[in-house]
Amino acid sequence: MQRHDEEQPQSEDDRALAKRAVQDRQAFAELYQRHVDRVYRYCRFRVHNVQDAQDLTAQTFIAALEQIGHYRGEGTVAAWLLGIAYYKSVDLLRATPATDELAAADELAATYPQPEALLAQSIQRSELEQALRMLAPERAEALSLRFFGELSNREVATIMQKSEDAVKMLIHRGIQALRVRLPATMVDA
Amino acid sequence: MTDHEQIDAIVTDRYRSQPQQANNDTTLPTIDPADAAVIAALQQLAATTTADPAFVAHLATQLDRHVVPQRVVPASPVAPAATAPWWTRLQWPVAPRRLALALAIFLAVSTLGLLVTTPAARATVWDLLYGFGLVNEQDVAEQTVPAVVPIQAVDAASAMQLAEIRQRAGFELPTPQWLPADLLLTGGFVEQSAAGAQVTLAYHLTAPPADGYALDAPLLFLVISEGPLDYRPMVADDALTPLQVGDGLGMYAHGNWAGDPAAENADTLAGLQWDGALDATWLTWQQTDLNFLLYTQGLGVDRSAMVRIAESIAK
Repeated sequence: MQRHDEEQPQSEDDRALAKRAVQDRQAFAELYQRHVDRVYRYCRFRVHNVQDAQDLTAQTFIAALEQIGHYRGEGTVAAWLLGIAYYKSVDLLRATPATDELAAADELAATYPQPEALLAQSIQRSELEQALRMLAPERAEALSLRFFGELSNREVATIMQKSEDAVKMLIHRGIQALRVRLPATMVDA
Repeated sequence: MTDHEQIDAIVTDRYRSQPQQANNDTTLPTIDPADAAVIAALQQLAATTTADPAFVAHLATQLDRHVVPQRVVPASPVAPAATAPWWTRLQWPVAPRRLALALAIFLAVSTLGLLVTTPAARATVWDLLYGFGLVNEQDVAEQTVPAVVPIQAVDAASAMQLAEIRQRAGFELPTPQWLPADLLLTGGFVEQSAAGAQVTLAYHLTAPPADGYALDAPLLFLVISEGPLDYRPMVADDALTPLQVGDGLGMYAHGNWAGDPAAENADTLAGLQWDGALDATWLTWQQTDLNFLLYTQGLGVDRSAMVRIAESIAK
């Protein structure tokens, strides 16, 4: 697993690109190609459908292009981009009617075996997505930034405006909540 | 291992999971295999989720074409032949951006109401401008006045008058094939500039009343321009968000300016402030070689309906 608590060497290169991107559209295009998958991945598991994820990704990069002059290089470019995506997703999710997730969660818990039946085997993708959808918003947010945005705890804490300890607890509790909701695993082929 | 140590191990990735046990890195602690399985599943999900390459390429093209908005600097008076709508071409001795924006908005909203409002109402608007000392009467007299084609009826006669607008426009004029309510085409005008023709179509819920529409009557107007559309003065920058319209990107905003123009102070825009809760929506986009601005007020139209209207526009 990637060590998220350490900055990657590419971050310095990203910073140089971001500085050039203020005047050079090609430099921004390079940053875009480097980070579009990461931003899309984060958006995909925040809004749970491809169309909204693509809209959100587009909004994020357009905002980044318009605000590239404001990036001060204090954190990584990835964290800066995901911070923009985070706030855009908050706006979008506020505008989207909430589904009756509590009822769906109860139904799922009643359907699947007890947690002790869960073993380290492969887990169906769709079941994991469904379980992610049912997490408490802050836990889902922390897990998404951490695993799909590939950010460090410190970067997640900065974006969510929480302490690092609070983020660690959210991530841990999110994992515990997923354990409860996930079904017994399939055996790897 | 305490719970606190387990949490630290998980969130800092410093643990020995079952696959790693083969490497026998005994310096790392073990964690609950079920937790390790969830983490592995999340990592697998991340590794197998990528954006559609066609979407990535399309967005790259859009970003390459995207015009980054520049800060508007109070400029010297704009020549009458400029491509901006005529109500933004009014000249004033001091043109602070804030006052100019507020008045452009006020006029943009009220202009179509003026097509069928009484002379008294029309005078009020000019009095406002003159009262601010912002409009030179001589300059106004020299402005290009657009050709107004009022449509009084909503039967075959209005269709004929739309044909007249089309003829005056000089280009193949597309119109919406879907509208969110029983809206009637009630007015339109065409203006010509060096950049080409610009057509404005107005839609209301009712035929024009005898004493004219109220300025806050529900309405939709559609501006179609061969040249660039200077919409930004009419919408607060912070309110604009990009979204997909057809094959391209548009800019959308919800809300409008509100307040009392006479109450101008350092914290307001000529006495007006952007209120995102007001029932007004704006959408601007480009389609083939034409630029569009769609505005609604009082119709309860949301973002998806605006996109639907836009995407229904056909020749």
